[in-house]
Amino acid sequence: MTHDTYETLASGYALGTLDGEDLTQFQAHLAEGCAACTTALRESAQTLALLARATSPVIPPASVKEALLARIAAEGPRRVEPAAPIVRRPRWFPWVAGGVAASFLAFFTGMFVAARYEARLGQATRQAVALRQRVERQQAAVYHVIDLLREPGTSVVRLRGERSAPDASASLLWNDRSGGHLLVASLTPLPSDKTYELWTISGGTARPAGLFTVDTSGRGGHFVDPVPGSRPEVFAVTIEPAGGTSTPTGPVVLKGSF
Amino acid sequence: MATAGDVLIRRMALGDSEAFAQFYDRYAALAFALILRIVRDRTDASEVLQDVFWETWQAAATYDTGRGTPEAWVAVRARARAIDRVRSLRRRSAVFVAPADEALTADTGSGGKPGEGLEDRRLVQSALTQLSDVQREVIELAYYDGLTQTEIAERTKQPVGTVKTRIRLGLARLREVVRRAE
Repeated sequence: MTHDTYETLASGYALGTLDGEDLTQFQAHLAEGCAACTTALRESAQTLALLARATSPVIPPASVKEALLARIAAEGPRRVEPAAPIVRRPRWFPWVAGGVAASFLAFFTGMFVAARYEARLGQATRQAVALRQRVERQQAAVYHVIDLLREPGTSVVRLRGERSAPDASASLLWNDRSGGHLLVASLTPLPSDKTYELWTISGGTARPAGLFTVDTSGRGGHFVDPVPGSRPEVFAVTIEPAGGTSTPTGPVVLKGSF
Repeated sequence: MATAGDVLIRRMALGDSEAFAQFYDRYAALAFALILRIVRDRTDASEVLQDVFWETWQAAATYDTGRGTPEAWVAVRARARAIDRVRSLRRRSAVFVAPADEALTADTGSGGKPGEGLEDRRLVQSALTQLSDVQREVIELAYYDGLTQTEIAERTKQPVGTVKTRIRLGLARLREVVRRAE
């Protein structure tokens, strides 16, 4: 089979028309890591994505958006719970259930084991979900930082500790078009009724730029939305009551400018 | 200043439902048009649309800007889920063929801001007209109807080999037209 045959198959694969022998053959070829076919597929995918635009946009029924937002609200916040330690429970051996005991005893033992098992399964699932969410959050932060670094016009602003927190330090990646990402290297963890709040200051006016916390080692990250109008002159972090404020009230812990 | 689509996806990954609402507003009309064109029934299309955007909410953390624009990210999912739906309907009833309802997809000022995306739409439409009839037919049967090469061969009464060649040439031509216009 010459490579030309694969090039034909690559078009079909991009469009999703391959079936039978052709599909398995091409998948095997891709699995070998053919760079030419991988590039061809990416190019085709981009062209095909444009086909979506050949049709004029159609406003969907409002109920779809409502249903989605309700579903998201029902899902609850994507918070990362600290993983609870696995509680060691006594092992239940099958002979307990199956043994000499009267049948009703076996039945209740079975129910008990099942309930225990389900509880552990539920716990394991919650831990897996929490872990997955933590990984996803970290991944999102890493991608955001990479995106910012990749973009032209991104600067790094050093934020230094003010008198109230001389050891504090942080860096802020800033891009006028797409916003920024604050990377805190060292800040004191706060009690739950307090929060750190970031401010962008231009023309003497401070605008709130989001709340964040740090972990027990004093590190943290925070996505910052772009600021409309001109580029902020100063970035500052203050300590505020939980929930944040619209103008700074607490002590300034970090400050920096371009 | 509007927040870029990729930034919205990053915020969605962190559970920002406001970012999701903005993301939906930006891409839903495009996705809905594509889904509607494929599944042809408004109720089915609405369900598919909901699945697609639920998927984007769930998968936001895995989005990689290096692999395509946010729009392509949504479009690929929209098409895939719509075709899944059509295929499952087809399986349920072998003789079922959805009637082509032009009124559903006609441009009646039904969506999007005026002028937005219009340039691209013209470009893609004109790119499609530059294909030969037989090339356009196979591309459309594949892209909008989700048919496999064997199914296209049966539908068009052509040998499978001919269908494969038309797909390759059609796609190459389309790529070339789009690239030249950029």
